[in-house]
Amino acid sequence: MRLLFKILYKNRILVLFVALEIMALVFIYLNRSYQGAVMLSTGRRWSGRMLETRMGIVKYLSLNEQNALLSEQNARLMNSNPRFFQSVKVNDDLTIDTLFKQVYEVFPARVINASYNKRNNYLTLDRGTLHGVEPGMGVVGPQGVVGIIKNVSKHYSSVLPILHSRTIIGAQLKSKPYYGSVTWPGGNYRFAEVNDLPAQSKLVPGDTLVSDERSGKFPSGIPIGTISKAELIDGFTFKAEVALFTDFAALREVYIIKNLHKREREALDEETQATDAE
Amino acid sequence: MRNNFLSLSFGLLAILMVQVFVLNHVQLGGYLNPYVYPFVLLLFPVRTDRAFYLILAFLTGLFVDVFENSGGIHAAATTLTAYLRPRFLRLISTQGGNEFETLTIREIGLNKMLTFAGLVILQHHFTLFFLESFSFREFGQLLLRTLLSSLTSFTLFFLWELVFFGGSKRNR
Repeated sequence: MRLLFKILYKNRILVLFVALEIMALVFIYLNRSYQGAVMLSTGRRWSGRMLETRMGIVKYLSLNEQNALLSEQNARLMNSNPRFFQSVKVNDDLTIDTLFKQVYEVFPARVINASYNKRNNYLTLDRGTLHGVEPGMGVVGPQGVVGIIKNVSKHYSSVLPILHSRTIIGAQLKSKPYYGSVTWPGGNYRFAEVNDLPAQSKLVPGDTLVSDERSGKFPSGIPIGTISKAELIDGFTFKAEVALFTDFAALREVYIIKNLHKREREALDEETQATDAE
Repeated sequence: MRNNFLSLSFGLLAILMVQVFVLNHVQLGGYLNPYVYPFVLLLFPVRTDRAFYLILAFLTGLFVDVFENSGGIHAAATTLTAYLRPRFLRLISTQGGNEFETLTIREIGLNKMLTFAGLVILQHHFTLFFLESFSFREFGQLLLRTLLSSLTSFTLFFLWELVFFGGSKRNR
């Protein structure tokens, strides 16, 4: 026993080193899980506040740019499209005058911290559980799709943007009825990748990719990007490069999208799967 | 010795502020993010208590992690750097750097400084980027990022060294 202590004491630097590394690895692991995010959010609260101040200054300096983006978006909203709504009437061709019921609710948020040059990037928004944010909600910016809410603390939430290895965004072609999924292979943050588009979609550079509503996270038709390179692999599906509309380097104002039918859809899916298993 | 330690501590604090509020938001070509804070750590006096030095490195990394929302990757990389520092020092000096009062270009010379700082920063950045992507699948990209980022950090650091400490031995 004494020998053991002696050896430990002799190697105390190594022991300390190993202990610290294990602690660091535990932090990394926790940061990737929900419980850890809650634990680390204490530290995030004060760093969040400081980053908010910094962003306040940066925001002031880029007012012109932001105003331009906002007025652009306002213009688009004024020509409002009914995509955020769902028709209550089943038979649309009888009358043009239909009643609409809101499915998606949108509320604004500010990006207070962001990265886009890493393999896995994150955004931090200044909205949390206090404002009704929940994990899994979609986030869009003035130019298009941004990402999906991952963790939420009381005042802040973190987003997995398109620029993360674990983000998969469902997408469809604007002019053709085909679905694919957008991922990010790393490297240049202005370009992502789209997979699973079938050969018959006859993808060509210039085609526009928009969000689809199968996941229930985004309304359909929110712009994602344009195809810049398309290549048919194994003869059945396309692998294509997408020039993203959202400039993650200049992202300040975003909108969190709440699906008011989320519970209903989930319950229905669960019921279907449960009864199907019988 | 005491003064040097104090000025290094202030230097560390100042560079951490610069790191989290300025450099973390500077992105070159969409790939590169310079990290200069490890340099201040590697310049701490050789005779600093090793246990204290390891803990200081860990806390420094953790500070950057909190601001980057990256869990503990900076803490892990920086602690490893602190642990390996004596080995890197042995490469440039037979006495393991013990003959140096401080680690400045003036004291140890440009060539040795380049070797030492270069190795340390390559190790730090490689560990960092590896932990970040946590896979060897994109090994080429990992190496490229390590090399380019190291070069950027390195250049910034040497500008800083030359401005504040002078590059030649003439002032001794």
